Amino acid sequence: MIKVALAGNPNCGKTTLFNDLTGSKQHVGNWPGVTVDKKEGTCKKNKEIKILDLPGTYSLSPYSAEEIVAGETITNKNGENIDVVLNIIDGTSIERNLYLTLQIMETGIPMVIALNMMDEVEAQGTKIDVDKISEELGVTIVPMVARSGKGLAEVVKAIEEVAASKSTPKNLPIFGEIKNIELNAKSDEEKEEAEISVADIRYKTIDDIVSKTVKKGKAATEVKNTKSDKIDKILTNRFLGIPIFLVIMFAMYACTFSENFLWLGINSPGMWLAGVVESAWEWVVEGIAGLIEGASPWIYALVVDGILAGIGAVLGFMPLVLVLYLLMSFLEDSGYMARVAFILDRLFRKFGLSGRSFIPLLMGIGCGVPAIMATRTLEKEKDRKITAIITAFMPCGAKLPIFAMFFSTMFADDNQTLLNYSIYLVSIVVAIVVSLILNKLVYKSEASNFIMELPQYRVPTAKSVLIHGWEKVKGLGKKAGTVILFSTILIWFLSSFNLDSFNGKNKEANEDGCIMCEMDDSFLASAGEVIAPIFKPLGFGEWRPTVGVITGWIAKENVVVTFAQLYEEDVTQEYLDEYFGAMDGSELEELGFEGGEYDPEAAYDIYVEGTLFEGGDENALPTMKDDIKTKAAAYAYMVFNLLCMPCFAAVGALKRELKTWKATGFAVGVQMLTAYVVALLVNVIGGLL
Amino acid sequence: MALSMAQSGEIKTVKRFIGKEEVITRLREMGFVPGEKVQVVGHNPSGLILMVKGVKLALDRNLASRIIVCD
Repeated sequence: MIKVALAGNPNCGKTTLFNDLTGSKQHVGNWPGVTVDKKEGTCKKNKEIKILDLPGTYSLSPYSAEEIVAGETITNKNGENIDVVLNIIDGTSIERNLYLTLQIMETGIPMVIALNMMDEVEAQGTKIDVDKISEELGVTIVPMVARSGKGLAEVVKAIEEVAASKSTPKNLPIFGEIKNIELNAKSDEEKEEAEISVADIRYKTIDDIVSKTVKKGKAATEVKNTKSDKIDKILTNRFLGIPIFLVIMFAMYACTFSENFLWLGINSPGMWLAGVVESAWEWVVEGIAGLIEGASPWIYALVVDGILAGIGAVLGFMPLVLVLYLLMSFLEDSGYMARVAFILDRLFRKFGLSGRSFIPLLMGIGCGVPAIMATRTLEKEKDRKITAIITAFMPCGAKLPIFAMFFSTMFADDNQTLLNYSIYLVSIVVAIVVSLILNKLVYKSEASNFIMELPQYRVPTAKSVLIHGWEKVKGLGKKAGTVILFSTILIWFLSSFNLDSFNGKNKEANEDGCIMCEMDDSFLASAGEVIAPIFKPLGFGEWRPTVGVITGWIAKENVVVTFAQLYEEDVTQEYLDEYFGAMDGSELEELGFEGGEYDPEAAYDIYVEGTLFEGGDENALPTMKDDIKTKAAAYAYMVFNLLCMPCFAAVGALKRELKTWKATGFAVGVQMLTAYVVALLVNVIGGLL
Repeated sequence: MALSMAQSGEIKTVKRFIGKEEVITRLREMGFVPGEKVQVVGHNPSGLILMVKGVKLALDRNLASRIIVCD
């Protein structure tokens, strides 16, 4: 077997080449730092070749965590035992790319160079004497175009040859010189000086080689005339940059969440899709419920109230997340995100962060797990830690149903758009304040620097955007299939059973001999009862809201499912008769009663469907108002769920990035404390208003 | 003069750096070596957009002020 590591500068086409070679569908973005961990695949053309895709790196003396992964793998410090390094070079910036090449050559590992983006090189009118460079370096160089797959077969062939001959790159005279300098540097200061002079020596060699072999075309030297430069003139303009960014963000959210799209009175694509999925799911649920109607009551309850309710809750917001992700993928692939990180840098600097922190925070609005992983691209440890902690404050897709539920029940008369914005505002303001406090008190260090490559703008291909969006939604779907399903069943069990279920007392007490109990007597109620007093000052110190918070840690969308399960029983037939009794025929017809006739049997479904979560009945979930009495308490509850510990999947990601349980515990502690303090403030100050 | 003072469109030559820490090494590794020509593509409240070795880079103002250049 041949083990090949794919190494190169950020954004030089490594992941595209990886996908070409292995036939896999890893996401390819157009900003540096898409690949944050190494990925493995098997070569399609030769199953003996194993390929490792490494994060992009400018040099082997690494600055950020993702680059350390690349450096350690190439120098074989982490036991990967690489046979061949496939060094991919962006032909349009060959000098900068050759820097890493020289460093890889110094390690003496067999290597092949894939000279990528030859189509763009030709378009620039640049001529590269490939054979001559190959001779100078003693390395096989294959010109190619990764995006179209041109030159792929030759790359595979070159890898096979080099692996067989084990031929190492030429030992250039400067390598000995560099080694001497590095060995002689003893003190820290000397070491820094050594690194600087070593960099100069390497570039001198590169300049020598390039001057002999590369003839720059006109388009490569005239910077001002490329399309990218013209676009940048506008998008990074000192006055227009941020307003344009805000407009783009607004448009993105309008396409996803608006019920009055472009003021046309129609649903946005996101809301439309959500509606379609919802009706399809209803149809499925009805079918399944019909099939198992005769089964014992607890099986029916498990399937309909437990499993199907759980899946339905996730399906409900998946279309929204899909549309949001597709739009975000489009922006990422176009190259715009790198510009956004830059234009926001000054602002973020004021909060003690770097403009690069913007990318994880934005991703956090979709889902916290990939967002927390993306903090790896930050250079400073301090930035990484703070960003990881505050990313959890973002209103991720899974938290949105919580807000929707409260807006429709407790705040039905208020301006819904304003309420929505207020949630985003709270999360942003809290993130800023916590970042500032952590900067002052915990991680004392100077402001970080901003260096980032701005890739050429590209029109994203539909294929790439779809793959990217699909990958993200698939991840969420998997979570729904496992964690959420499991926790839904668990909650259902804990809320339907108690000790008496298993000693026969329930069986005797229940008329139908069922062993289940009323929710108020369940295991879950007892546990919630114990913890609830902690939340008294926040306005929701009752067992049911407490249970909601707990199930939210398994997955935030569970809060809504739990509320539906815990308060469902309150909607009695009596209440329904009274509620719908007050309506006239046309209102009833609009809500879905056939022919405008009140039908007691259909009443419950119509109530839950059309009223509870859509915001018709402000008296929905009647006893919810016994538990969460005021608007201040309701808002405090939303804020607490927004800011407190994220779901376990995200905590897992936190642990991965922060390395130790101690640091993870600290992060979660900060989140819990923040949630408690802010919710307390909301309840107390809101109560005075 | 410091690179941060250069106007949009100007091409300057890198002379030396102020400071020696990691980030300066990083700058050198990304192509800012003495004698290298750098073109200022644009200014922004966050910093500068530059062309170095055929690559477009964004740099914050503080960092740019530590690169000393001449014509």
